[in-house]
Amino acid sequence: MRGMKSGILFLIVILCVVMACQDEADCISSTTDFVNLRFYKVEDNETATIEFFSLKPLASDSTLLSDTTINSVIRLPLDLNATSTSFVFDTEFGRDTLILGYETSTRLISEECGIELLVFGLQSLRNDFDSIQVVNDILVEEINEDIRIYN
Amino acid sequence: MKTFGFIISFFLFSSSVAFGQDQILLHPDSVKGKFIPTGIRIGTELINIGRSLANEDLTEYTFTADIDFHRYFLNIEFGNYDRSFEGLTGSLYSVSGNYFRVGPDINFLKKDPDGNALFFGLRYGWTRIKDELTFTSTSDFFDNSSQSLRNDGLSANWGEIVTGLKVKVWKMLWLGYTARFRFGSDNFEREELIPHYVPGYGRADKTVSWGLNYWVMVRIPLRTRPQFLFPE
Repeated sequence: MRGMKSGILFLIVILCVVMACQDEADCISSTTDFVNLRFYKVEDNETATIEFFSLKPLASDSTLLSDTTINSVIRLPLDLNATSTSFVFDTEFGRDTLILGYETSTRLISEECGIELLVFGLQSLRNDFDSIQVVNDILVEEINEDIRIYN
Repeated sequence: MKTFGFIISFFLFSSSVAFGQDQILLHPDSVKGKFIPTGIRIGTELINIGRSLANEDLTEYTFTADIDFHRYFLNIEFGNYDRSFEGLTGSLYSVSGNYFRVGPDINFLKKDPDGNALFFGLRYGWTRIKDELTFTSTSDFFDNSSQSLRNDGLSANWGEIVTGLKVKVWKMLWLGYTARFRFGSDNFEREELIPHYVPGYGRADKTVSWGLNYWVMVRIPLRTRPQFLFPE
């Protein structure tokens, strides 16, 4: 009978714990479909200021940059309907093409929060720069440098 | 109807056979006949039935069976899960699958004459997941597109530490609960569609999860439960 009483008490405790721990997702998502490029000078590895005449993704009519000077960092949007996105750079160094490859995953966070897209396995499939280095291949908002470009 | 009548007759027959047997008295140290099962309990889970009735987008049923070997039980649980989620952003996600759990329990109320159980145990869980997500991909730079992703044959397995009670309420009718600590399921983060929910486990993004089942069960006696002669 003592065992029974302790069992019932244990049941009440367990019920309280389970009721307190509702299995609801929070709507925090740190993923992004933008990739951060940082330009470096090839001669001294210092960050570089680049003059852009234009920067366009091939699969879009949009122009990302036009006749502007950037202070080493640009953010490029990736096309999540494809596994690669091509960009045409027209800068003070001439015309360069960059093709970025990647994989995507999708998941439902919750009914309230909707879906989340994850981009991972980022790599350079083709480029015309002096050299390029992928320093982060999983895209998240907190990281502000995914690719280093040396010119 | 015939099947139902047969089941009722079988229960009544088996219980009358078991209850008709003479009392078996064993010394506490005796192992003779100790590990021969005295009955099989079968039952279903009540919380899932309630949730399925209350939510038209959810159907979940879980069944359990156990057999005793002295103070140990072998448990087998089977469940079916089917749910759809409609996201505020227009996405539609559906997931379904059958799941199995199997594992032993140890009963800490070994002296209870009715066989009531305060138990602690382990489970191995396994499921096959079938899920689908339909959504519209939107972008300020590229064309919007409607996409549909699906998994047909993903399987998941996990471990559980469980504890709970099984109490005889009236004749063959038993009630009980099982509290579960589940761990070790894959989160599938490299799949093109990452499952939101693993049937039998819970949210797929959780490395551990808690659960509670409340059971109603019927015990089919196979023989009279041995009574142990404890010294005065």
